[in-house]
Amino acid sequence: MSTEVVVTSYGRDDLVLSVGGRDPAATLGGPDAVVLEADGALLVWASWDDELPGALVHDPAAVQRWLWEVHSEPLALALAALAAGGGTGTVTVAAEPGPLAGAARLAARGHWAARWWPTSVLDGLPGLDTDVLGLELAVASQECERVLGPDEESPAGLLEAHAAGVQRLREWATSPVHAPYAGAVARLRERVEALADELGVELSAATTSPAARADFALAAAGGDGRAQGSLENDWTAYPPGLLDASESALTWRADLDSPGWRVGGVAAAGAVAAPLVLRGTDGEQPFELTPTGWRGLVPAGPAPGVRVALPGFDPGPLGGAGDRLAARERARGFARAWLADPGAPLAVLVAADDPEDF
Amino acid sequence: MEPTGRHPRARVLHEAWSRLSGVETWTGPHGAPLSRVTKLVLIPLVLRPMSNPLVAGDLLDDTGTALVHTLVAEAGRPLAAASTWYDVLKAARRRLGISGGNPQDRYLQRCFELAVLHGPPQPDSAAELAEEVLRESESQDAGRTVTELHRLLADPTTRARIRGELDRTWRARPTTPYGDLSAPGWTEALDALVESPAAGAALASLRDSGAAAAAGRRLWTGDAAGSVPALAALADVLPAREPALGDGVRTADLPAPLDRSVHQRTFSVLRATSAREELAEVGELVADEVQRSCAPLGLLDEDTRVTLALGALASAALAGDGSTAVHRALRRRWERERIVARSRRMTESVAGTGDAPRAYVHRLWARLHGREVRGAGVLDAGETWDLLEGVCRSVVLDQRERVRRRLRAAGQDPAPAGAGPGATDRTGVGA
Repeated sequence: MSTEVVVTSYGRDDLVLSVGGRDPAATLGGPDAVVLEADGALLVWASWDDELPGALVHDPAAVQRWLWEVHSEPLALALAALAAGGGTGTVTVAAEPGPLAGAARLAARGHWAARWWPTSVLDGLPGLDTDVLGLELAVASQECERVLGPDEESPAGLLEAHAAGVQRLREWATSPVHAPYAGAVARLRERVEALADELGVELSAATTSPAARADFALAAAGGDGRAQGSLENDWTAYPPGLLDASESALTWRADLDSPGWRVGGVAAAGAVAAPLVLRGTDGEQPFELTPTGWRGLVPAGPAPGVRVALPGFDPGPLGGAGDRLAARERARGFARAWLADPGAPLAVLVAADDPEDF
Repeated sequence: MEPTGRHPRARVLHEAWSRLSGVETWTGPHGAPLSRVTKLVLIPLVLRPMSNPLVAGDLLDDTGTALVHTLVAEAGRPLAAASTWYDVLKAARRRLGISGGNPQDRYLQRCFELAVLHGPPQPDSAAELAEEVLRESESQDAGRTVTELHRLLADPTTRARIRGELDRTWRARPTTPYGDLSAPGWTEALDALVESPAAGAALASLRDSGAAAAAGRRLWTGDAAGSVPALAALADVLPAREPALGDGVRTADLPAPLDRSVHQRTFSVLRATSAREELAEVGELVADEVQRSCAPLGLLDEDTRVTLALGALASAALAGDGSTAVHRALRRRWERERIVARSRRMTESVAGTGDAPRAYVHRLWARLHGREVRGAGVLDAGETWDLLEGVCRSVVLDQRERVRRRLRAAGQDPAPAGAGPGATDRTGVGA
């Protein structure tokens, strides 16, 4: 099916491709950014279901090497003509997704999931096996290697980083729980081994990390009449894998014994004791991992307006609280859409179907 | 400027390729040639755009399109033979237990060479010939290895001789800051460098002024570096001192370039060079490095020093400053990285990125130093700009790697007792 793509030139070497009237720059930087660093452009799937990505083009010559295989040749030629003019202008082209559009989208979705997957017990969003996902990402990246820019993660780099997934696949091959996926497991192993041979990557040296899964936190605050409430849990502002990515994972309560607010967070499965802090107008207080979750104490005030942060890893605020919430909700929507997609990668299918957890 | 043509060259190559037979091992998932085959074999060895300008651009007119079809069809037999050689070489590589490097990078061109010289592999001779090719490409490193460098500098007699030479050269170096220290057209050159025909002349006049060498001598006598104060980032302590000969290398935290030992400088080049056969043997490398490390800015050629000084001025772009064409272009790249890093969930606090201009100067020095050691020629204006842009990219990638390492380190902290997997009773808020 053809898609209307609008190409806008803002002058020298600065062009934007937008799909479905959506500004590709709008989702950048947030947890709903499904992006791929292509040669000469940043590709952005502004909507989960878009087959074709929008693009921010910074090198119109470089994109000619692959644009015809993703957005089809008429669009490639229209962009070349517009760029050659050097000025500003707009052209609308009916584009057919080319042979590499699917692999490029799969690679972009895989990167998105590796970075932003909102794993949450409270919301019923199961975590993914990141190494198996990484192997599938390597295979998809190899398929669209011509599209990838020099700064995007390479197929060989992904294979090396996620070689431990091979061991996981071996376990899955013999586990009765994963029997429905035996075919997909075998196919992935075969493709990964062929790719490793092709790229000269050593897979056998990898050690497996223990699968951090069955360890789940229990739900949050009980009500016994004392003042209490929830705080914005902006999980996009600190690294993944530390807190449950639910909006209700962060709560506060008045403390009768000490002058302050007790803040508690539901720990993510396999969370490590990263040096998180609670940052407010009064400075920073430690937020520590305990056997019962993340705990901190902040000085009393009108309300405990603090946010969780990891010092040094500070993206700063992204829009207002409403925009941030909307972006996080969109990320959850992406995750649910993929979990419900029978054509999703193995790591997603297995997570969607894990009876042990959900 | 992009010529307005009729067909993307990549597509024409794909079509021409799909008419060949016997090239399956060099064919990707959708029938196109593997991207490295395009980059390393088809374009440089089959299309040869230097001699065939009609096929040089990314978009081709009808004549260029026809020429691509002819050239690829004519090369059909050697290409088929070469793709078979590739399998033979990979099998030989496994037999010899060689695992370093990407086999495509190392062997694709060798395979085409073998195909042109010997035709398709013959069952009685192919395996032997392949092993010979592999052994040859491994042995070209002989005398140019890190082990060789360590051995050379571990020998007391050799060390004493080299140290004497280093002391003599350092004492004999001219330290008076002669040369033009004012600002002779740095800004003009930085404006012209991004695609202006005037760039060549601007670079030449900078070279003739000796301003970069003068700035380098300033670092030996004290405070600033004349018209290019950003060059002060080359040394942690000013005035810059005589380099040590050095005995151990800790690459994890190399000091600033002018504080590196002769050993460290040579080691870095050996490590960073993929084609070591281009280098002199280690003894000669060290002798050259003694001379170079006593030259202004730790570089022998004024061309190289001018490029370094231009880059040092341009590095302000990574702190949001500067207004020349080069500054604007680098700032755009840096801004794009900020957005991409955020989309990748790999962000540092602003404090962590404050040293970007300094990192830029260090990276650029290492690149230029490597070029001098390899005897790479003088950069023209276009190549100079490519290098300044490429170094920006290196700084970006270094930054990504640093954040990745920090995240990994945070993830490896041992969890406190009871908080690891298996703990139950996790509630949001305790009583």
